Amino acid sequence: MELLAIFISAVLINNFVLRYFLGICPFLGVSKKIDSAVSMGLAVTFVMTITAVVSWAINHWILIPYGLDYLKIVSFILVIASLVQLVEMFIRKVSPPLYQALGIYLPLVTTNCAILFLALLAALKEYNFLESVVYGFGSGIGFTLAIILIAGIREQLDMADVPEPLKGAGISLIVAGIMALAFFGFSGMIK
Amino acid sequence: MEEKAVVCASQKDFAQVNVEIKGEICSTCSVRSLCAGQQEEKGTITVLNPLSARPGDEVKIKFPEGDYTKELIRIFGILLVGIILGLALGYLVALFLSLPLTPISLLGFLLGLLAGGAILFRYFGRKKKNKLYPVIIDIIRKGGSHG
Repeated sequence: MELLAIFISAVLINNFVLRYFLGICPFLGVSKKIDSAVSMGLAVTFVMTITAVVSWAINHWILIPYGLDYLKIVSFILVIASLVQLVEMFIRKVSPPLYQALGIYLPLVTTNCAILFLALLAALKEYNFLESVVYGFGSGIGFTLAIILIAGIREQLDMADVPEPLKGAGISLIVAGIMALAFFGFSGMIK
Repeated sequence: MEEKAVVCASQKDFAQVNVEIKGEICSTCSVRSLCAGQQEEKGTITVLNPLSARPGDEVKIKFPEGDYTKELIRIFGILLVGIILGLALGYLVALFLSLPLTPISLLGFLLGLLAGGAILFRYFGRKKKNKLYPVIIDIIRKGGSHG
């Protein structure tokens, strides 16, 4: 039950994009089409889940036992950067043309502050292993949900008569703001 | 998506081309300074060369954009399913056999990740590897190196 509460909280109530406004760069940059939004969402979910596991292990097996708490931020940044490099190397190995085509895609995941925030928040909340994984996975699903929703709206907006100064990022930010207000309605669902 | 490019080298079925995508597509991107394509080797990509274009030729290339998205969804989807299934299996095994939860769940997680990776290696090994390369679809202008 506790795990379900953490999951629902991460997806709907404490959604990283719509509650904390983290990870806005890929949220706006890769949300023009639903297909690309789904792939970015899955990439972020994967990196978030793995980050939750590795950062939990480092925090509980190295940082806390040896009194190195002050190295949290540095070590988590290192973990995230290394993970994204590993994912990049894996993709280069399994599919060179896909790796060639990715360009900005994976760096967008690396520079996603939501992932660092996830590692820090999971450590701050003193989650155990399973809670950390569920929190990481739920946060990724929350990000995916938000990016797919805005991609769907942006596809519709392409056919709408948007005033010239608001086209592009302007209207997207307004939509994101309205979505955040809507998601605020989930507050209080879980205490 | 189609783009113009200039062939700078060709070998067998492939060619290296210089693409001028950056100016058209990336000019409005707010994060282009982070882009790997903005670095030194920018604009030079490997493409399939079914028309036997030669260095100096101006060509039109087509990117299988939809395929990239599908493959990415497949890669991350399979890896995610692998880790979640592995974790769930590890958790259940530890629960039923009264083993320590954390190490067994972690082991399940890692095995799931490895299984997902192995499936992807098999999948991409079996598939036609050239499918995802951009393809030269037209030679717009012959270059100077033609006899």
